[in-house]
Amino acid sequence: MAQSSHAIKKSVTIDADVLSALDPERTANLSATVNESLRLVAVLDKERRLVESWEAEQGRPFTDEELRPYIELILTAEVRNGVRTRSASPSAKAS
Amino acid sequence: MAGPRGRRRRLHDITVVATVDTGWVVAAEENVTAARRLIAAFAHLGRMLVVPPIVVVEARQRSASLGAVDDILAQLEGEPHTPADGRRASDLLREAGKQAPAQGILPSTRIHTIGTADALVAAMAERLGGIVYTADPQHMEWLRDAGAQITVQPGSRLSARHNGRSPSA
Repeated sequence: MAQSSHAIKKSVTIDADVLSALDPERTANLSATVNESLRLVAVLDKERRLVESWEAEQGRPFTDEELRPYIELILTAEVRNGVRTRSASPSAKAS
Repeated sequence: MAGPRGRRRRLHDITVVATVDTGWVVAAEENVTAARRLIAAFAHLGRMLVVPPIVVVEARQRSASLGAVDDILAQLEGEPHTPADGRRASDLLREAGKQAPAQGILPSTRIHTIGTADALVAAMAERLGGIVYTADPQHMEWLRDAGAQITVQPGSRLSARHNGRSPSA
């Protein structure tokens, strides 16, 4: 999310089918797209490492029973947000 | 492609991003087990939980133990405020103030009660997709009523007084 002031140049190979499946605005600035994508991967990796460290600390993984209420909370917020966004969009108001 | 307020598409266009306010962080500090489970659930779903700088300031000011609150803050992704956030927060506060007399409240009182920090959180949440987690929804609801395009998610499962609703560790 946050922008870094330090950047390094790397040569990478991207599968053609992946590249062609991207929206044009993403390929227009491929470096930005790669940065955004890797930033997301980095965040998810950090989250995973955190969870693994907590699970190691408690000597067992989180159970489905423990996570279920929180997953429901997150998904409920997303559904409510989606409904709000849709009802606020001009197309929804026009219909 | 320009997104909201002229920005390029960012991570919140790829995955769901939720913003937390100061009350959420303080509640998380008081109920670490619940906070860890919520963050684990976010990781499980591949979502992001972000903390604005103003929340870092407030949470560290309010906390009795800097080590404990820093542990929570370290688990969240940082996201900088922008000048546009500042302008938006100001507009939201002004509008919330205008709405206050209808409820018998002075505009300045309502603006002071909400505070700059929550207005900045609402502005950032709006920019990042709209979801904001809070332990005390009232301020965010006033800002939403003032026009903030946000979905206020009470984080009651983090609150110690509601702790009995979820299994303990």
